[in-house]
Amino acid sequence: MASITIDQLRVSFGDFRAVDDIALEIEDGAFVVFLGPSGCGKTTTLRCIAGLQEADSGSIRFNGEEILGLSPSARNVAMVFQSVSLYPHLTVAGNIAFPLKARGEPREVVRRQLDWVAEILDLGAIMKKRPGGLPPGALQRVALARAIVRKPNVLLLDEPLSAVDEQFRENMRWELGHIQRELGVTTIYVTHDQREAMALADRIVLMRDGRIEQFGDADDLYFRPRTAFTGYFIGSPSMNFFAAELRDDRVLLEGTALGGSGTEGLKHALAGREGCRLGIRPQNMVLSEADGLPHLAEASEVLPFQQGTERLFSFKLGERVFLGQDRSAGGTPEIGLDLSRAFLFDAQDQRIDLAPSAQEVAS
Amino acid sequence: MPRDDLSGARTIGAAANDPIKRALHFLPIVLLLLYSFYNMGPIFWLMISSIKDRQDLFTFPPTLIFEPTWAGYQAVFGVGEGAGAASAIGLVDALINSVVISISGTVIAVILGTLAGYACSRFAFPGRNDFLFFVLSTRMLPPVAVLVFYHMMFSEVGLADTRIGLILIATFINVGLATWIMKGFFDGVSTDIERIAINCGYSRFYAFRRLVIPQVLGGIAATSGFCFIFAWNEFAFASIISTTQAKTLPVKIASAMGATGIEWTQICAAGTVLIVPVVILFYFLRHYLLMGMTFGVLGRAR
Amino acid sequence: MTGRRRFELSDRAIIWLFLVPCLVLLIGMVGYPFVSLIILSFYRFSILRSDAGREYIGLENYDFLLGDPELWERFIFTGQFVIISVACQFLIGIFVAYYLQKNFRGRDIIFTALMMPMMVCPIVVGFLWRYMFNSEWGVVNYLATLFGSDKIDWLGITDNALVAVVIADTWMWTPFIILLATAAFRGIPKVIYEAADIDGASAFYRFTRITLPLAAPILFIALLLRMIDSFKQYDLFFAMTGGGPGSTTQTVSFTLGKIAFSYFYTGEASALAVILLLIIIGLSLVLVRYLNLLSTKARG
Repeated sequence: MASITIDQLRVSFGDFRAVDDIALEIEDGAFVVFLGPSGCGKTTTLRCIAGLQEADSGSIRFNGEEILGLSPSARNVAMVFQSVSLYPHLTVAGNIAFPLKARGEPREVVRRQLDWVAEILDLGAIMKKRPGGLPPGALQRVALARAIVRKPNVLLLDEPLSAVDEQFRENMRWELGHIQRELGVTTIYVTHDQREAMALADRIVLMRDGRIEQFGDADDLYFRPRTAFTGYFIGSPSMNFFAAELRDDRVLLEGTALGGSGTEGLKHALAGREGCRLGIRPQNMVLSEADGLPHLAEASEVLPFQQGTERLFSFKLGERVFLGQDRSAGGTPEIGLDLSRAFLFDAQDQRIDLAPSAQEVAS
Repeated sequence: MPRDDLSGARTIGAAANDPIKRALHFLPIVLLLLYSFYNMGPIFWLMISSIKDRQDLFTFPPTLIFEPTWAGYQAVFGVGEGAGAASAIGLVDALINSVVISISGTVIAVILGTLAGYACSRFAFPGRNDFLFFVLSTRMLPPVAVLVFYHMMFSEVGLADTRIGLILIATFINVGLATWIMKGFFDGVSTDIERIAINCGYSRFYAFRRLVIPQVLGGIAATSGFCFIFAWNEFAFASIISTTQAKTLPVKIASAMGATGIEWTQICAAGTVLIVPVVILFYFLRHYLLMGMTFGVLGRAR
Repeated sequence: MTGRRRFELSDRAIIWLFLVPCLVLLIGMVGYPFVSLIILSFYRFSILRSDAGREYIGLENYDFLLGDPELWERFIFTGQFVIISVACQFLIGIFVAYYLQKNFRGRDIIFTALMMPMMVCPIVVGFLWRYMFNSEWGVVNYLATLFGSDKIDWLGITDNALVAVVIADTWMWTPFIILLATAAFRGIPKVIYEAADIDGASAFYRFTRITLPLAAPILFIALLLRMIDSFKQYDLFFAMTGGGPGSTTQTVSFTLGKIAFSYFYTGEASALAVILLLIIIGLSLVLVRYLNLLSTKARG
């Protein structure tokens, strides 16, 4: 168990900065998810922590002690890889016991740990089998078992569920979370799937282009995105972005006027600014009969449709398509925006605070 | 929690302080250098001896600086001073024979071996082990014991002194090797991809050709290299079977040299000349040779 | 998706198609000589005097050969040569292949260069080493004197001659092992090594518990092939020692050659060949059985 402090970590491949001077504090026992699109540096950072990747500069400390320069085995970390990393010639039991035997643990200790791990991960049935014929879900459970069997300081997981069938993924996610809480081991989990992150994490580190875009818990990222990228990346379906400007004392979204009351905060924020964008999640754009929300004056190609259990609708402003929730009931619905849940981003994609009264966050 | 592990073994930083560890670190490098010397030294000696004058050959200590002479090569190629030798005529023919025979033999052996190796790797058909052992056993016959029979057999069938006959020889000495090595490589490729392709409706042959073969290119390269070497240097059979027309290079060169006892310079020149095509082949194959066995579903990680 | 094929080969057809050409070629090429060999071993016959016909003598050839104590000595000598030579090639080959795993600059050039001893014509190799091992002016003795030793009579003393031929044979065939071992080692996915590093395995533990077991099937095939070829080694002994001093470095193969082409006792030579064949077959069977065991373990 260890707290992790990352300071000014930099990794470059030639001219390409994979990890660009990032700094991070992770507390002991936390489940942290590194989230982001491909190439954002999350896996590289993870491998740096593991000791499989050399850093150009910076420091990583476990419980205050510097670990850069130590071999992976000296760091007492454990890792579950994205591709199958089990030893094909050993049985499941042999695989799990490997890290203990490699460190010369006596036989009784090995036996005891094996039994313990087999129990919490329910592996008793396959202990004597070889990785060869097992399904990906079982393989990753064995990999996880091998990782936790020696009670590591830090547990690292690199997109471990990407090869697992969809139907088993949720189950395994739950198991993972449960085990992590029981063991209390500091865990870092890398994924590009934001739903996974939202479900598992105590804290999320959203990365982009080698930098940390935002760091916080799920609510922070969902309800209080600091940048447009965060707003866009988190949440499904993804956030709508409207080009927003103030003209003739009216708010224009993609050139279409936003009518109705409650837009003062927005107008105030837009005053004197150019190139802003308004971000609002489809859940907060409602197609319904008049309900007092500020509404779009006009929109084209309004198309309700069903997605799973949800009733959604799409519409067009100019050439761009947007999504919202369909709560119409016949009659003449209009597209309303819940501005209390909207975010304004300036030309540098940073969030601008709307007037306090317009930013009520209900949890 | 277990904090003591952090203060445990450190990496190179600490090793530099321990003289024993430092020595151990260099030991492999020393050994590798020694091996390189052992490996390359005689090759160098072969080449340098091929241009030494007779008197320079037998000096002690051995000479490294001297007047080079091309007499050896002239004898081999039958030009200049060596023009009078019986070997003069027909060296180009012998070269062509060798090239054609060796390449043909290699290609056929590799193809047959790859197919048989795949079948033996993927299908546990009844008699598989017997088949494999029989194929291996074709390599166990010492040529010395059976030369006579081959001569008789080939004469009977009319294959004596023909290229086709020698191609058959070059092929059969290699098929056993090719089959076993390719089977080994195929065994190293997981069957997952083939299974997926077959489930998707592709034929097994398609899976074999398009999906599995690319993963064993390293094996095919290695097998081809070996087969070519054995075919190219094949001497015993060739000297018995071919008397004039189908003479291969080694035989040709050998016949040129018997006359005046052991002509070291000529032998070394011949050896150097013979090695050139093989080196060229291996140079072109080098990328494949170092490819290794499998990319596999397990994946070559970043 | 049902794929697009007009003509599909069933698995059965493929097995036949893939195996038959191989089988036909081999039986065609090996059948007659092999059978002739066995048959002639029961006869007194010489190709030199083929018109004198042949005389059926049953197992007389075998009795004669197996009753000759000198022949047994040659079998032992051959066995010594095979074991020592193959062991050296193996150990050195695996050692070098281990360090060829990593990518470093110029690796493929170095690799090609290391392959060269294998490429030299075996007879030339024999003569080359005979030249280098010459006790008066050979370069090997020159190097020996540099290290303070006296000139060694390499080829004139039996034990030394064995060492000399082993050195030459190892020189020639270690690249064979290097090539196959390198292929086997590089086939192990990198991620498995990373997992082993994280699991805390030392380099030695990793090599013995992971690398070697996973490479074992190919390594065994290499071992098998080298063992079989070693028994057939003829050119080196012919060129370097001529079977001498006396007849002490005559391997079974060499003896075979002598009986067949110096004395022209074809029948006797055939019998000896059959005996040698049986020994090689016996040893191979043992190795192959072990190889099968290994393969099933590694494939899991």
